[in-house]
Amino acid sequence: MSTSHTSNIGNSAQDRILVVIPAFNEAGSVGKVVRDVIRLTGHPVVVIDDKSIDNTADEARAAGADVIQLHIRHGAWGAVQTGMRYALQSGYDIVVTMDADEQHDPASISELLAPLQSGNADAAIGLYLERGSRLRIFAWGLLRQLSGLKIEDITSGFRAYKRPTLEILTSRAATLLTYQDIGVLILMKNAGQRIIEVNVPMYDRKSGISRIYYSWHAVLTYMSQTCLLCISKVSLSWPSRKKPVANGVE
Amino acid sequence: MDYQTTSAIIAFLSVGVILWLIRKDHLHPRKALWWIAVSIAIALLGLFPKTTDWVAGKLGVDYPPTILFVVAFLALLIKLLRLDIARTREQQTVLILSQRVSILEKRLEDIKNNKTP
Repeated sequence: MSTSHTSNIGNSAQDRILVVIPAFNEAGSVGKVVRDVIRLTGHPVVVIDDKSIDNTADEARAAGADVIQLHIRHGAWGAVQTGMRYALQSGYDIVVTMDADEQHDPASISELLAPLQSGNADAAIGLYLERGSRLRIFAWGLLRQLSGLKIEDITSGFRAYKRPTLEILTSRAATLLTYQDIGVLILMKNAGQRIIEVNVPMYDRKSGISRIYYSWHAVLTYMSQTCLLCISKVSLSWPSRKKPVANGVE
Repeated sequence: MDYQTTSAIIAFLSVGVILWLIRKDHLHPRKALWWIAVSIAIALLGLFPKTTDWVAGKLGVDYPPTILFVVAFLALLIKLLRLDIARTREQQTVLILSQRVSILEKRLEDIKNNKTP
């Protein structure tokens, strides 16, 4: 997939990289995540505090992150989008997004960055299929069928995006999305972005709860809303059904 | 009191309420145009009830008042849909503005602390 949005420039060490961490009441874990990212990668970190009522912002600052505090609760995607907007304004070339609950391993950031820096992809998604219950895997399968997406891990928040992709994801059309999942992927796919999945390890979250799977009501709302999104946003030029390749270019 | 007078009173009251809302800055004049049009329609249909009979006859509706209810229901449905569309657009704007405000605050803080991103 390649359009005018797609960038083939991959110039490794020159790239300015920003790690964006959305956080909502994650005071117990955000500090460690920030410290680990800085220690292991050296990349600057910005934590987007989604109107937490605990000390998330202070903990993140103390650990060495820049902090942007939202005044309205935007949800996970709105917080990530704020970080992307900030990165674009500040001249960063690549944004890595990861959770503040220690699910994602900062040591895997370099693996996410590799396909972007070599020019093989516009966005990379950290793939970890072992996580998730049977129900969750069934839901992912259903959403994949409805959307026509060939991405295995559609809800992974461990991702890397290049600048042209960031411009698409900070557009007005992307503002109403709730999660960094299928809506974001459909938007990228319809804009011809090359998305790649990279196998990474993931761990159980140390604090907080899933913003999607925390109650049956939330799951039903999420599923019906996302199914509707899949059906309404389907591209009219249907892509060829090619099997996705983990650690390979789609 | 006859049918025409009742309709005229309803229309007159509607226009009065709308003008009062505009006067008190509770309603934007552009949004008020729709409601003024509704009031005029009530007045016209009340003053000329034969219009409904004529339209119903043309459309093959046996009971003319039905046509009034159907049109009124459809008009309200369209209005509600337009309201939701407008609310969605406003929500987008508010979210973008809120994100930008937070980023600007961060930049101000950086300037105060002599820090460059």
